[in-house]
Amino acid sequence: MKIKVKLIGRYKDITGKTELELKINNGDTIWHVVDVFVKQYPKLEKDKKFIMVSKNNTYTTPDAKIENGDEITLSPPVVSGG
Amino acid sequence: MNFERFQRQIIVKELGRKGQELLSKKHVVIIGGGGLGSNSSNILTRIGIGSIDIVDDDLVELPNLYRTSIFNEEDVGRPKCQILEEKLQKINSEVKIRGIKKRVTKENIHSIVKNADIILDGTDNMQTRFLINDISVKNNIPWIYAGVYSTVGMIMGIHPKHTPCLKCISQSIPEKTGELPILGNLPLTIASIECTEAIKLLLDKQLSGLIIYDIWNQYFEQMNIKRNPRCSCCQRGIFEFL
Repeated sequence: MKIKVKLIGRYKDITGKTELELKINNGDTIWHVVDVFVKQYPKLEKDKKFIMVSKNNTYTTPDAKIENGDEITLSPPVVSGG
Repeated sequence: MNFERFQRQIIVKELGRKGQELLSKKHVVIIGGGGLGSNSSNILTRIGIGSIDIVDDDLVELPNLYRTSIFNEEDVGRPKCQILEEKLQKINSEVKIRGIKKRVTKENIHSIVKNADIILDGTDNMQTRFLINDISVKNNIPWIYAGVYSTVGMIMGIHPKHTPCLKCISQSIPEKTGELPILGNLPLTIASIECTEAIKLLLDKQLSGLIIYDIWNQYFEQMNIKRNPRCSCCQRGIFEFL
């Protein structure tokens, strides 16, 4: 199935898109979405562990399953300097 | 408090005289007196918060000066919290400013925040932020998370039982490693947004969710996120940092 993924912050700059379509299988997890995304944009490999992914406006664990119609958002990691 | 100094702020419809009066009765605790904390304490003093505690155990160092707006070269080597208390008190003598030279720990955080109407994040590490998050959720004290990195800042107002907490979004937060790049004017910008969210919380107004602002590329994102139903902190009451 194809899902629409909204991009936040510098991910829009790197991809040149505000939204993209990713091909995944029904039942794949959030981790799989991140994997597919990073394979398309290898520049983001170092972000892989830290990309914030929300499903239907809720941040979930990487093992959460994606279902048809879910809204996914990818945003850069929360920053920690003071 | 003498409201003459706020005459142009009182006519802001989102605040009004009633809002100004409410702010003058509030107690804010700012944890950290560096780039974010010093700028936040400066803003909140000028805006007319009733009392402010600034908790920090560091000394002012030369590399701090480029990203703060209160410290100067004469302050190098002196405690940040003490300098802030002295200088901010001169800005508005009616605001009760207290510099507390302490490192926040799980042993002392209860006493540090016990009278706080809100806690502001001026820390530079996730460990302390999770500690603040735990005490916030446990004792139902709102707090504002804020962080800066390079040209990007993130801010999120956390109102226990009403909004997601830091743990709701924390599964993928990177820990600080080494020196982080920070553009000099970023902390002031992010502190300003942090203080706006704090004022909204103190006045019981609607928060803006998770805010991400890249001041170099002028990206501003606002996400209205939901509470994580599996959050260990705000849903299951596990306070692992306390």
